[in-house]
Amino acid sequence: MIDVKKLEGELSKLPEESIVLIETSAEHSFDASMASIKFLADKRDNGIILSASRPYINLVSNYKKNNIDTKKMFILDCISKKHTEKMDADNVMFLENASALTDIAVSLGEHMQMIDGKKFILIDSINTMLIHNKPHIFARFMHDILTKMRLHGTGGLLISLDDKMNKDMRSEIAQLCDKVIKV
Amino acid sequence: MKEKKGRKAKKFVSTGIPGFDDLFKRGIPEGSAILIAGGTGSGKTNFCLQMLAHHAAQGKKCYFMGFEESEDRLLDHMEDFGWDPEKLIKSGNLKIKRFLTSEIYYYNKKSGNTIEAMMTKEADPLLMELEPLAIANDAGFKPDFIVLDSLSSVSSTFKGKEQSYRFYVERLFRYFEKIGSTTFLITETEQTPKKYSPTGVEEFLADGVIIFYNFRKENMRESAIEVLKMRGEKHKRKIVGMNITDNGIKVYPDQDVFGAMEI
Repeated sequence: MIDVKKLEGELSKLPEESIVLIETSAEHSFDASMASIKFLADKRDNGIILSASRPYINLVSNYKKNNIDTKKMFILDCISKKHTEKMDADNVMFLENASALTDIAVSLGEHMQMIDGKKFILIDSINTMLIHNKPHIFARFMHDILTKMRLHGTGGLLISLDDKMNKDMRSEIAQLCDKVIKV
Repeated sequence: MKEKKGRKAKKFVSTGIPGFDDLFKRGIPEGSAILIAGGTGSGKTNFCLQMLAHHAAQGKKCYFMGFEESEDRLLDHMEDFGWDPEKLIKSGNLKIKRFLTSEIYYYNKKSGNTIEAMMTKEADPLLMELEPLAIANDAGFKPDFIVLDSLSSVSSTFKGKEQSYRFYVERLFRYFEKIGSTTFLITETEQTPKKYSPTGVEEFLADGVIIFYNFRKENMRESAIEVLKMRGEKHKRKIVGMNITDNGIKVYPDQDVFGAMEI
């Protein structure tokens, strides 16, 4: 079990537009992701979730179990497109796969503009994205996304597995964030 | 129109393609001849059809001269994107016509003269004989915009006769300059091209070169576009993201293309 109180405490101290890298273990990453989304969803109007780890259907079901308002979540699903029949849901976009970085960046940018009100972005997870992308290109992508978030004043969380990311990549990403929280 | 030191002031045209016009300070100089280069499936023909549909809907005269796909297939593409080609054709603003490449090689059906015959006769440098093929067979239809799809098909007609092709192309560019239409000439290249036209000469003759990319990344491809050259206009010098959506092409003028970074 992760220390949810500690995580919430750390997040509540930060300004809303902060970008945070959350480092956790493989067995706790899902709990960390859910706890963070629950915390932010209760405080802000909307969330944009970039998921390379779990499909839309699974996420929505887990949000419901955790009393997270799914209507406030827009999911960019990078894994289900080839396995999913066309779905009649207005809070999801199925992207080709986690290596479609340009499409992902465009979609994130467009939804950041389209969705009104206070919002956050959650990227789950850095490690899964790195399976599909070369590190130096992924670093450029992260820089592009985080710059857009800064320009929009949109805060966000990046989920990463501790000890699984190479040191240089971790430094690159950590230096673009306002805070690193280990849970 | 304002006169500038005895010359006509420059006018600029847009394409109506979302995001694309933001690559320019003002637009494409009116009357330019632009190469549209890219690999198969990269969006060249759709780009041109979308632009013609936009201008035809604005009351401009638009002419698509094809050597590849049939009229029906082109109309189907336009319908699929929701551009209502029938309405544009009925309005008299859009013409789509398929030619045989032999109609170019034997450029003057009446006399039966070939390009070679013409070269030996020191023909009129403006090559008025090209007019019947290009435009004047539709008397009264003076297009503001012309698309020629494609120069690659035209060049294949001249296989083994490169000199004749160069002669032909040079005069074709001069002809387009003379009639004053803004012209888009499609050329087929590799997916990540190093050469943008059949002989390489066309890109020097053209006023502008727009390149369509289709970068391979893992098991998928990423579309991108670049304005390589545009005489008389400032433009972004960057490869930017592009998507072919259900409604047509959309360009993202500030979006980096990550697939391009793997090359």
